[in-house]
Amino acid sequence: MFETKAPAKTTAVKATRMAMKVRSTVKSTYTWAAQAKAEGQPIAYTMIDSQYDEIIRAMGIVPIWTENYAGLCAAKRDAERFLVRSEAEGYSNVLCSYARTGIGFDSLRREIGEIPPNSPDGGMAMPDMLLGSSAICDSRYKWYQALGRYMNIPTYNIDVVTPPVDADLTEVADYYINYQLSS
Amino acid sequence: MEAKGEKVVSYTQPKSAIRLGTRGIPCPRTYIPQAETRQEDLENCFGYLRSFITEFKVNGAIFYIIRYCDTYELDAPDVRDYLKEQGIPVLVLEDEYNLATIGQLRTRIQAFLEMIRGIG
Repeated sequence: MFETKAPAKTTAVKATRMAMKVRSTVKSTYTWAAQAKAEGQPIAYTMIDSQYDEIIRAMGIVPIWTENYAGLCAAKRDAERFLVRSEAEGYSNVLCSYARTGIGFDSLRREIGEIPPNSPDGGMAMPDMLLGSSAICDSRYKWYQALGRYMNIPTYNIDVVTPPVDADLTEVADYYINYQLSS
Repeated sequence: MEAKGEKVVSYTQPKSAIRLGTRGIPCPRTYIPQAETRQEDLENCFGYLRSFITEFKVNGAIFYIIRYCDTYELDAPDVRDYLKEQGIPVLVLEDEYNLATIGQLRTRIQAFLEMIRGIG
């Protein structure tokens, strides 16, 4: 008799198993936000690594990850209409595609008065606030300011300062957190 | 433009950083807190352009962006609309530090100048 061995939990196996969960996780992110919106919960557009996540969730605010939505549109091969729209508005085609997809989506929504038809995973619910961040790149710092063209809602951008690459993070942690929270 | 007999009164690009600082022109990376209305936001960001228009009796504006400066790029449609509201014709140019594009630039600027003269 042969013994059936369970596959070893190598990095490749773990990654593959995780990939199987991604689709449902992504889909639930946007449908959850749409449902929350319908129930009257406040919605925030926000960005990865923005430092708001835990705080706004604790406040009952539902986050929508706008960059991730651009990635979703690209994976679904449905980013083109949003990219073309933002270029027609005057945004350069050398700008970040995440930002152009998001701007194009909101520009189209403004024009037709509702989520563009057949948007991937139902589209992004209309936000009640825009919470941007300078962490990672400058486009993020200006993206939500640019959205003022299409929606008049409270907007805030946190300016995230990154410690130098040779800094001892354990040494600067307290000072760094104090500085960011007071900024 | 000056070769075409026109007068250039202001620069806001990094190569003119000294002018930029001394004239109090904010870099687009500067964070300006949100105001009550969209119009106030535009005034807070680009109001300095209005003072230039009055002070120098400006006939047209060229928004010249060195490519890949995303903060300038993301301001472009707002600057264009703001200036058009003041009745100022705007040409948005995107460029690199590459002399190969000089002929194309010259043609576009020449056409813009002819348009302004036609309006005047």
